[in-house]
Amino acid sequence: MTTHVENPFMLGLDSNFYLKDEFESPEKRTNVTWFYPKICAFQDALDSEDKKAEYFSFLDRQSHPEQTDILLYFHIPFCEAFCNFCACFKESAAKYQGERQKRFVQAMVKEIQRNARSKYFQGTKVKYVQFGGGTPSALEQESMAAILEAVHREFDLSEVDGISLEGSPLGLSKDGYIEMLKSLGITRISFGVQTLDPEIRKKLTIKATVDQVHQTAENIRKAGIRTFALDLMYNLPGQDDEVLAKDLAGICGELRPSFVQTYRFNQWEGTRLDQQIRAGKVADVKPSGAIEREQYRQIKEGLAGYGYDKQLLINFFTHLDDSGEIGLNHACGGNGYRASYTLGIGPAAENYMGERSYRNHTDVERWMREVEEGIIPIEQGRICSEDEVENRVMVFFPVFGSVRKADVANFEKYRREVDWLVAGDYAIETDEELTLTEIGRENAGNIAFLFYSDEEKARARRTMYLSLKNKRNPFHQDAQNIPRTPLFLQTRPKSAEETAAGTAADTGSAKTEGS
Amino acid sequence: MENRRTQKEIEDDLRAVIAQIFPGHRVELDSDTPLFNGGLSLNSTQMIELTLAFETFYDIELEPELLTTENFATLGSLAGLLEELLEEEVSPV
Repeated sequence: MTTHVENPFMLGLDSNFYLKDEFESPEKRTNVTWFYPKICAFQDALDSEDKKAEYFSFLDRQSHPEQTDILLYFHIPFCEAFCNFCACFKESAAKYQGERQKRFVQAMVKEIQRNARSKYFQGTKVKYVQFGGGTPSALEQESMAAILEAVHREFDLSEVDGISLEGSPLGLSKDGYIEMLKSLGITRISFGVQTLDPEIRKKLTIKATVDQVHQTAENIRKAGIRTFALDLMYNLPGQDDEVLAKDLAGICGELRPSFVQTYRFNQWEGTRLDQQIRAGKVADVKPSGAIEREQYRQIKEGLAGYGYDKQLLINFFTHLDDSGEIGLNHACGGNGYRASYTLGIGPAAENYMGERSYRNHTDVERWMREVEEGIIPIEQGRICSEDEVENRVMVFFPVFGSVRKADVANFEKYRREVDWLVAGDYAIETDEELTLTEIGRENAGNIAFLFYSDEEKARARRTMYLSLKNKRNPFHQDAQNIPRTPLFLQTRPKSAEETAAGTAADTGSAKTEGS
Repeated sequence: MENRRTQKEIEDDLRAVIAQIFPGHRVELDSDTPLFNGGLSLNSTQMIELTLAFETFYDIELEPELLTTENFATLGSLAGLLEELLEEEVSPV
């Protein structure tokens, strides 16, 4: 029988079914939650100007609470080439060259100004800035420079801990690109290596060559960028233990970044890659839940062997004794120590402002048009329930590996789940802290779901249902460039009449009487 | 669907629908067979895909609130839910 690794968007929506019963099942290990609560284009649509005006009235009426930190996130959705395993929202960089790219940059600058000049953000000292995507380095140098200059001009960065940018060797290896980033204050660069095996890279349509990876790492080092991070994936098709050992040696031993970020491979059902893997066209070694668990352990051991034994976040390792301020303490709302709000700018950027959680339009053209017309370019937003706001600390604590009880508003509210985790050796509870054990860290994604409210689980199920029904990607609900076609869209289910007719034709007898 | 269908007939319908959309799942489906763990081993994406498939089959729409693990626990529980829904469909208002 075919077994599937659980869809990471959905696992754990009912803890009785998915989590506690088969917590360590190879098929039931999932991603850590990085966004909570998720918002939904169908349930949280801001589809009238009145609704939007009311929702965003806080921008011009209030100042942001002094006890919170502000992070800026910029989503640059363009990629020079699409890797076939990636489910992030992205657009073809080739479509946005010349005048179209200029128009995009002007819209970015305008959205930066609109927010920075609002009462809410005036005088706010930004604590961290991150550029993600897509691939920010797919922008031309002058475009990226224009956006960075606007950030420096419009926001107060006098107390910023760092400015981070995700890139690709395709853009970063261009003459002068890294130097330009350095001159405009970028302190951290990361890019996805994923694997150094040329054959697997080809199958996964990763366009940058291994030589470009090495050259880019060297250039980042030479430019004196304070820190740089590389992504390593595991459980890739064809990536057996030997290949993974070589990847570890190449990344940790030769490329030697400050940080290594690990990501599991997600085989999205119904994608072309999924079909190719199932048909045995990609590699003899197919991804599986069992391999994923084994390789997670192999990676942790391997990283430690190369000195990357400091686990700063669940997937974030370093060999540095003192990594300095790199924004991790602001991740996921700040782990309760100090609340961190995120302002997202650009298409599909997500925002979290206390009880407000909202997302920009995923359609680049619509996002640009609305920014140009002075309309807030938001397609969905919700006022989170008290439960959701309160649960955030516990939903995100697996990302950090521990949480101080004093930082949880109502720790005893979670007593049943905490006791279950402790009894199962997934966590250790002291008077001050709740800390995941090694096996707890291995199941960090599943543990996060234990702390979703029932309401949130029901909402997530509705999001999935409504997304698939409306033929949208269930995560972003965007209609473009997400390589996921649900099975039901590929083989349309038949009505009772069609089934009966088909059965009659096949066997000469009607199967469903009276239909 | 104009005629009222019995739970047993609905279970047969569901077996046909499941065979059609999940051809790789070769499991004997009794009334008590769990649709999730230890039975058909559907995951949550497939739970939704199954829903969309039987909606098309019966030309009905499910209220998203009914997507509970209790309703989808076994073939029998799902057939029971559908029997109620189909009865509402054919009952005169």
